Amino acid sequence: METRKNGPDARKTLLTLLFYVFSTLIVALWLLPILIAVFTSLKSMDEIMGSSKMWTPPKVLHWENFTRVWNKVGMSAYVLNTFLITVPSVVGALLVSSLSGFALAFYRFRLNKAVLVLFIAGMLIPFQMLMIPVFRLSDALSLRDTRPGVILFHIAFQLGFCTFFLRNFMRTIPFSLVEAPRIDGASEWTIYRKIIMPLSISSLAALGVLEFTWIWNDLLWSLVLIQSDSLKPVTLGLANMQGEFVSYYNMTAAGSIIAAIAPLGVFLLFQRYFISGLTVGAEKG
Amino acid sequence: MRASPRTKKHHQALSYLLILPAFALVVGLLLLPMAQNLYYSFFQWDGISKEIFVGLKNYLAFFADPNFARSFLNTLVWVVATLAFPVLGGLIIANFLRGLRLGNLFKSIFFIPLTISFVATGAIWSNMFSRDLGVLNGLIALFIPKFKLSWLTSVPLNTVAMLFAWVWQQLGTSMVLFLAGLSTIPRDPVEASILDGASKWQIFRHVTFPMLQPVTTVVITMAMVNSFKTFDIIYVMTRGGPYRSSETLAITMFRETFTMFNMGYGAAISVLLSILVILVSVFYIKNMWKKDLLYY
Repeated sequence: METRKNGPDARKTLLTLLFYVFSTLIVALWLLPILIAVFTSLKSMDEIMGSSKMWTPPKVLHWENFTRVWNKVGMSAYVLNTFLITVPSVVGALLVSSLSGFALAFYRFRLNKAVLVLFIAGMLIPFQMLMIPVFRLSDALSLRDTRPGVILFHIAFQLGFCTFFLRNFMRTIPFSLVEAPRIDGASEWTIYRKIIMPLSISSLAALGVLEFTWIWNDLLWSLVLIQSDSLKPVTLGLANMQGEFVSYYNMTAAGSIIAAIAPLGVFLLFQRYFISGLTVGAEKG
Repeated sequence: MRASPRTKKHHQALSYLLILPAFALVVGLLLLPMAQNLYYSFFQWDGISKEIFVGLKNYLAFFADPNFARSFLNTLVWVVATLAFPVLGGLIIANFLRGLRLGNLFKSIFFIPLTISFVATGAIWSNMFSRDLGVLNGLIALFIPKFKLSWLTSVPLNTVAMLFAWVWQQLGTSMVLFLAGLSTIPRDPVEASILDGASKWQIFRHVTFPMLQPVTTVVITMAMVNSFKTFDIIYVMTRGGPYRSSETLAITMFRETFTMFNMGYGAAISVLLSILVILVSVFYIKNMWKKDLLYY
């Protein structure tokens, strides 16, 4: 009796142990690149060249790698550029899509579904399909190599997703909340502004956090639309730096960390919104 | 209460007005350019001189172009690897994380790479895979002395290396979507199966997995669409090299268009890429259309 009971128990303990060892390894694998980037960014090139053990912490903290990347390589300007592109793009996309989402959620009109399909097409189709015409169009409209140009295309590119996201959320708002004030004579603008917008705050926040990360991290639009170094966002700056400073591991590591810090901070601060934003669709679908 | 015909008409007009800004931007800046791109794909054009109509010549050129063939094959490798690792891995990890005491902490850890751009991911992993000072070679050298391998310049290891970075970045998305899906599955059928003496695997195979199907469709579709579009990581880590060996269709299109000025040929590649993306998402869109819950 005893042994029969002990056998599976011992096996179970072993399995649990194995499970924990394995999962610790996987988690370590996920943290390792970040840890090493942090270590590398704080080492001098002499220390890096002196040992092949990249996983050891720096002996002396060389913060000047960061100041050099920030000032001399010009990361400060790149970060500012990204900020000046990202914030208006997110605000613009949310504003325009809150109107279209409102209309698609609460009005029955012909072509409602057709508009939806049009938007979905615009958001699934690869960017490559747009590159050449956008390159020409932006030239014709004198929008190439300008900040408003990039912002405008970002907004257009994100509108499909934003509209769906908001429309789907707004559909869950009881229709009576729209109909009752209508009967009382409230204007549609009042309903949008005083009822629907306040109720949508959490989904607007989730969408805003997602969009901020995506636009901040974008490379392709600026690759096609921006040539001047003075307008380049941080992704493009880092990609160029990766080519130029490829053997300066400490510099590229510091650059990567600078590029990653804002979206990472936004994620850590608004984790709840970020995850709920990503998952709404999957739960409903 | 029913709205009078007048207010109804008023709503009709107002709804068009509200949609107008979004509609104008999407049509003017995305859909019309896409149509224009399709048109370009039937021309031979270097971006400067006048375009010459060549019919389907650009498309037929695919079959004779070894660079295209390699790029196409690489793209398929990316798609298959994406399904095998981030998607399947995300499913497995989501199942294990559920009910784990430190589940939330682990979830955040897998999620961090997702917030970092592909460019930063690529830069970090380029360092990891470097020949002389990379961590990977350093770790292997602990067991095999003087081990030195130039990961990013040897074929097909460069693609494998970039896939590592890609999986690292992408796993979080599918994991969090599967976790959300798992949390909506009712407990009753699972508990009933436990009472019936079903093993954990049997429960997953016959209860959980079938109920997860809608989420699985979303995750698989999005993963395939995203892997077809892969650009940033390759652009940063190898630029498609050496000698165009690690290009995917998105990179090949970019190179043909903006470095070699074969605009027509580049346009044709992008049309093919779009067709592939539409093909893999048809099933998903149809599903959504039926349920009137279009999303993503």
